[in-house]
Amino acid sequence: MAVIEVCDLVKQYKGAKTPSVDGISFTVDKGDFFAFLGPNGAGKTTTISILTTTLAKTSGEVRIAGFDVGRQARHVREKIGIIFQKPSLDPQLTAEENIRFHACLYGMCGYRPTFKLMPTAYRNKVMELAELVGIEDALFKPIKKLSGGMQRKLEIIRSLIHTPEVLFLDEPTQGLDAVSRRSLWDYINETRKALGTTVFLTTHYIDEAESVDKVCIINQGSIVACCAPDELRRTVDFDPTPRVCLPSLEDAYVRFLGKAAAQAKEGDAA
Amino acid sequence: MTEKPVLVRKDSRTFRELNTVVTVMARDITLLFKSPGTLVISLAMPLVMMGMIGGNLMQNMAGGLGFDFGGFMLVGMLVNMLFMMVSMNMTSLVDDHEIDFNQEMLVSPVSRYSLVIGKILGATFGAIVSMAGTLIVGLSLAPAPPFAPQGRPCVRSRLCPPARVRLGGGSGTFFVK
Repeated sequence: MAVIEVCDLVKQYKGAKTPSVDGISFTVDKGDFFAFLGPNGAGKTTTISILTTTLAKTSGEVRIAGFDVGRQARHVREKIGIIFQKPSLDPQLTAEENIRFHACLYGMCGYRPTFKLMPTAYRNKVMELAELVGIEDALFKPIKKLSGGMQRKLEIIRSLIHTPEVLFLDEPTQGLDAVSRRSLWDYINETRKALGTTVFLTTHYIDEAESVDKVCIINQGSIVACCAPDELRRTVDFDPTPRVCLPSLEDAYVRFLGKAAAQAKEGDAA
Repeated sequence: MTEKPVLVRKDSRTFRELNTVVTVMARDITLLFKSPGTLVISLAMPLVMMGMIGGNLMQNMAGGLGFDFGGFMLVGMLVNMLFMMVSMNMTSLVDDHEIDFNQEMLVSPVSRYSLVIGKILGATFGAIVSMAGTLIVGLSLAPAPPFAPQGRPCVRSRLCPPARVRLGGGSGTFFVK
């Protein structure tokens, strides 16, 4: 069953000679991990903005979880969670205050001035998610004191607190180091499997899209390919010569950092 | 065995809109208390204006004309403080835009009006705090009760300008949004 349905979507900005998105159509099934790839200026962010109701379309039809994004924007917003390209956290509030603000805006609970006064269900959920991501120690620290990776993890907690049906990730790992990137993906995969959330991803790191269920490639506003990654790989000429598969530099980098962290932990314990 | 409470979405539309107003307002109030500098300035400014500038003005002008400017200074300060607070809150909207926090608000399933009303109420709270500071300083420095009837503007005419500034600021918030 399709949870995202896009049919002949067109978006032309005022004064632009050509449309940024030119009649694209695709569907995403419930629970799928969907990657929307393309070079800079291809129309990825425009499409995601229309899908998340922050930008009006010129023509075409877009339905999220059965609701029309133009006529039933409020219903669509209830069903989705978004992680924007740039972090959208209030740096002056603490991590928990940012989550509380979001939970209250999504009607999950009534506002209370402190965490202790919030309903037990909210407190349990926040602690559970924070432990899962490993930021329980930083929960009551101001955002400006958290690293980029921690801020991203916090955004994930925030976007999942209202258990959305579809999670939009607009280049979520931009500016993150390799270790944070990996742990973030581990967490997203875990929650996707646990909650059955449909994930719509846009990224410039193609390796992040290796494990997705469906890939859609957009270029100059038009879709050039939309199928499963294996199907896409089969279109490339294959050289059957066996090769030694060396670990990537990123693998080595992550391993060394992991080793150093383990040694530091042992040192602290001793 | 007791069941673990589960976090579920509230269905009442009225509850959710009111909750949004309170949440947005509470955020502005939290931010106000998290920046003690703003509070200190709002209390120190009237002291500087009324005590130093106003004091000199009153001494020089009152001597020659035989007229007490204390009451006028207080109203002027009230209006000035309110105007400053409204300007600061308009700037906070721009700040929200810069840190992309308004995106978070705009994609939430609530009415835009609730967000704006919450923002106005939050700004009003800040203005009231600063006005209280001005009033305390002004009343303690004034040689006679500033709202005394003889030959001075009535209370309503003194309080109308601050109210208008507040209203103007609030309306401005709609345009910035």
